[in-house]
Amino acid sequence: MNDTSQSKLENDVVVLHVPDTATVMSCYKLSEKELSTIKNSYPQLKGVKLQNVLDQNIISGVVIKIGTSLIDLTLNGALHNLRQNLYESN
Amino acid sequence: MENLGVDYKVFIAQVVNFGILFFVFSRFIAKPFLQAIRDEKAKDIEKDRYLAELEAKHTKMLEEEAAFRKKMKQEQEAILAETKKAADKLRAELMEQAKEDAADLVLRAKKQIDEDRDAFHREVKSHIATMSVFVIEQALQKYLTADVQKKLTEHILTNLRKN
Repeated sequence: MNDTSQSKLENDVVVLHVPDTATVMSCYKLSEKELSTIKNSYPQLKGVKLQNVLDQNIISGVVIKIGTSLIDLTLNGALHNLRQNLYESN
Repeated sequence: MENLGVDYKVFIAQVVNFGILFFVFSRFIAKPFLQAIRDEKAKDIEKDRYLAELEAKHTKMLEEEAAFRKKMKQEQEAILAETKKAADKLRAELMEQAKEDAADLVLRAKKQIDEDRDAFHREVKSHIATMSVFVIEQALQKYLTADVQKKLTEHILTNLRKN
C-alpha cells in the first residue's frame, strides 16, 4: 500500500469515528436549549454540529443519529422495547 | 427145473441179457441221468442259497430304508422345530422392533406437537404484543396533542440530563 492510499484510509477512519454532524430527529423543532441539553449529555457529541430533522412518526422524544450509531430516546422506542419484553416474557 | 418148464439155456441167456442190459443201463443211462439229477439238485440248492441271500439283502435293504426314513423324519422334525423356533424368535424381534418404532413415532409426534404448540404460542404472543403496542401507538399518535408531545420530550430530556 502506498502512502497516499494509506493516508486516505486513515482520513476515512477518522471520518467514520468522529463525524462532524449528527442528526437529531424529533416530532417538533427543538429549541437551542434542548439541543444543548442533548449535546451536553453525550460526550461523543462534543464538537459535533447537531442538525434537527422533523419526523411526524415520532410520538415524543428524540432519535440521535451519529455516524453509524443510533440513540433512540422516543416513546416509539420505549413501546418497541415493551413489545420485545412482552414477547420474551414467559 | 425142467419139470417147472424152465430151460437152463434160456434162463442163462436171459440172465446174461439182463446183466448186459443192467450194465448198459447203469453205465450209459442211469449214471448220466443221476448225474443230471444231482446237478439239478445242486443248482436248486444254489438257487435257494442265492434266493435266501437275495431275501436277506432285501430284508436288510428294507431295514436300512426304514432306518433311513426314520432318520429323515427325525431330521425333518428337527429342522421344522428349529425353523419354528427361529420364526418365533424373528417374530418376537419384529414385534419388539415394531413396538420400539411405534413408541419412537409417538414420542416424535408428541415432541412435534409440543414444538408446534410452543411455536403457535410464540406467534400468538408476538401478535398480541405487536397489536397491543400498535394500538397504544396509534392511540398516542391520535390523541396526543403537540403540547403534550413537547412536554413529554422535555421530560425525557430532563431525565437524560439527570442520568
